[in-house]
Amino acid sequence: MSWVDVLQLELLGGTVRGTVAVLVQVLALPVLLYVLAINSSYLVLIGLAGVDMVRYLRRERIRGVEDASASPLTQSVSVVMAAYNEEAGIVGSVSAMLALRHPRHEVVVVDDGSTDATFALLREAFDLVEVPRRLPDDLPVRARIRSVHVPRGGRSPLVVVRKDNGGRADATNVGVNAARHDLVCFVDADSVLDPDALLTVSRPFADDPVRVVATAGAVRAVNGSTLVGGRVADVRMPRGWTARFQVVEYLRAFCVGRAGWSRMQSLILISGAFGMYRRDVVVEVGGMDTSCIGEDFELTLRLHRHMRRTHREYRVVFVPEPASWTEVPATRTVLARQRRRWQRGLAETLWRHRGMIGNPRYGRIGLVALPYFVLFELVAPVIELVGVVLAPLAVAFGLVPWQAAAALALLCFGYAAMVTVAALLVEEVSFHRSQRWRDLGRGLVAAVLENFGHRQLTALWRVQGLWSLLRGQRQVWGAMDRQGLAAGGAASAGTDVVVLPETRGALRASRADGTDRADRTDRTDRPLAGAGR
Amino acid sequence: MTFFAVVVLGLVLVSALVLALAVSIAAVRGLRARREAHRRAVAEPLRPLLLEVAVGEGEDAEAAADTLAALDTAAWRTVEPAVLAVLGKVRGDGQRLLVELLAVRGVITRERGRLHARGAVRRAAAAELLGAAAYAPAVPELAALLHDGDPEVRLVAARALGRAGAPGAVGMDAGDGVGQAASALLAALAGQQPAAPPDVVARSLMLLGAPAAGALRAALGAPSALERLTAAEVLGRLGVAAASRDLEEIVLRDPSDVVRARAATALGRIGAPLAVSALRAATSPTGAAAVRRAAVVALGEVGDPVALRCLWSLLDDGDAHVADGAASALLALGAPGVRVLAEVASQEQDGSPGAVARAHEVVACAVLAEVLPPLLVDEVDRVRRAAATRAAVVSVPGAGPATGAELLGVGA
Repeated sequence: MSWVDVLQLELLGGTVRGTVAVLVQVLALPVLLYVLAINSSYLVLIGLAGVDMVRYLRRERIRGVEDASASPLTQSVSVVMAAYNEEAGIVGSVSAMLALRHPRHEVVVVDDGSTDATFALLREAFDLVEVPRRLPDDLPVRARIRSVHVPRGGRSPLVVVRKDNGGRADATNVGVNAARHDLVCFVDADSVLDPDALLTVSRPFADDPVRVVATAGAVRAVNGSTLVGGRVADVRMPRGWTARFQVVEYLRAFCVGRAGWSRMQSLILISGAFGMYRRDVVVEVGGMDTSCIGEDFELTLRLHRHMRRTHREYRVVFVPEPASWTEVPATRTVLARQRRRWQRGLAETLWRHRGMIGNPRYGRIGLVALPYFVLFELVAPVIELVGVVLAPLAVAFGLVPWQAAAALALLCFGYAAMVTVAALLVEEVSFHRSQRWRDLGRGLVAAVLENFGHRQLTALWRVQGLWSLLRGQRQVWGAMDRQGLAAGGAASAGTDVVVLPETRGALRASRADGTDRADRTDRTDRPLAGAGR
Repeated sequence: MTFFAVVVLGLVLVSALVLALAVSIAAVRGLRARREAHRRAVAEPLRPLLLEVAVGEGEDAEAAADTLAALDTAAWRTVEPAVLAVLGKVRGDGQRLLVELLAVRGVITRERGRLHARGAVRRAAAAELLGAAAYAPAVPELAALLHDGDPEVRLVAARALGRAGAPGAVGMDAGDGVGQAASALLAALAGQQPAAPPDVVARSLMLLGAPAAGALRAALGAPSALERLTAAEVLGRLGVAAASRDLEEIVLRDPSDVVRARAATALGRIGAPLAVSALRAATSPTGAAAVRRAAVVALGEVGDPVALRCLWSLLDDGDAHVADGAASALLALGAPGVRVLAEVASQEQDGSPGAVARAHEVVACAVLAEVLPPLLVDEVDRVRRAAATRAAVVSVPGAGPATGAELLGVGA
């Protein structure tokens, strides 16, 4: 007697098979059609992104970046970095931000109550002195401001604000209050920006000063790459597969989630890791919502809502290159936490703005982008998990021949892999930042292998995120074992070469030498639309 | 055909597509690598010649230009992108030689032809190149492109006009190329919708420099607010002192607050002491906030001590931005302004609590951040010590004077 028979006879009196049979009959076709639809939609978005990127590249010569870098009229930018326990790389990161090419930019670092040496390192590296500067209260702030610091002698355009811990959104709002320039650029404290990133991402504001209210920059995974002087010099694939899967996810997501939507004038997600806004507009909409996990997504949606409600002509633009580079989780534990949080943030934000969904008042945002997000981002992991559970059960109960189930699963995986490889092709034709053949091979293998385990796990984590929201569990930030992307790039050492450590291995090494940094919080990565399937 | 057969067929198809895409990626990468290798092989040996031309000095440069001009078509096609990349970065004889080289190779003629191409990107790229070449004979064509139907083309044309119309552009004869470019650029701002972004136009007008001042001053009387605003901005940045009177008129009488504010900023940049009375009038509490804020900053930049009393009275203004601006402006005025701030901060002068706090903040920030010259720090110390001495005499007879930093209430 097989174990299935035992299950039928002893546990449920033969009703399990019947239940599964009904479920298979009812759900199999919808799940299959859903998988077909979601991947086809991604393919369409990648096609649109391809068109957009070709369009962008054709204009490379006429973009006028050189002109902008020399013009005193270029709009000034305040780079706002919220930092919490970022001692691993804060000095290098701030140095790199100060060294970005731009005629007039300042860096505002908000130390959100760090318990490590984040501020001490900044004070030492930049010779900071405390000043009794009052910050404007343009945006409401929850936590208490402790002090404001500037470099002695005004040597560099840097402001460091120390405050009690209040979360990233609160810290960012403080940064906006402290920002003196017309544009504010939100970046993560461990982000590494390409040298022209500020100039290029601020360009649309100059080209269309009346309508452009926000621009989104591309974010890429940097694990395994080499940094020189706080800049990404050699793009490489990381060693671990968890990180590799995310490298292709990021490429796919920024094709699907940004460039494609931007092409349709429906960009609703600007990553908090690299987004630029008109300061007055951010103040007008009330800044970041401190009660929301997906604060960057929420801000973008609120911006759309506000502009549409006030009947203003506006544009939100995606700039596909240059990019901000961010470290992605290298361990499944951290990745799981991150994906749970992303999904929960997505659900919370969509719920908060549910009045926009399907509402013609919000144009394409309400009628296309938001319904798409609900259907293919919010619900996707649930349906995927249903498929993952149902298929083996159907085979186990003899409802579907295993050969047919396997072929069907392979077909689904193959289609998903094809979408990712199409995104890799768009990347190769457009920006081709990775130069090594070996890494190309690894990327292609990752595009296929991620379908066998990684995606299913991701779906599970995302469903867990939704479940925690439904149960009303309190969300806490998890630990992220980052090593500091710009490590070594001290204020006075702009040309240090740093090969970014493999996070997990380096963590072990750091533990060995007593410098465990695993208590640093994971708050910098942002949802990837189209990534977490 | 059974369902299973359809699935298997789909699987084969998808696998083939994945493979085809992967091969395409490899092919794209391989072709690019090959093209790059070819380019390096052809262009690298010629790079010294190109640099020689770009330096533009002596007979060697002429000889190098002749060598490049004599290249066969295939080699030239490989070298041309490098020449174009250098073009916008050199000035003087190097630029002239490069433009002559491009003219000999037919690139200039080709690009002038492309100004009328069907594709917008082609037209824009041609305008960009002629601008980078600072090719003055193309000014009329570039000016005409400001009426192009494509906004991107208009933007690039506006940018190119700044270089092609600038004094010292290649082929600029005695004719009024600057004036023509300036008029075209200002006219681009005249309509309901500007033909090009105002900051791009302003940047180009700045590149045209002082010879465009006449056109700019005339534009201060234009009916378009955007035109007046841009003209005021550029006149200020160029420091055209002769335009001060016109700008004062604008500050006092223009119907647009934005234009008045920009004119005030321009007066500050020009630094004309005679403009102080107009700027003081612009700080009137009945004025628009934007104009008041700009005027306050400008008063600090003009640097005339006559503005002291006006700025002092604004330290407790109801508009926090105006009050902050007044404090910063006093700081910018140097010793007299710093003295006033220090006195207000130590309550030597009659001042409201708001003014005292603001003055204290500005002075303390400046002292602690060490952005004040030593002489001004001494000035602050002197005022503070005097105040402390008086306070000590009143409260605790015999107490010694404190240091400036101590008196500011922060650690040294």
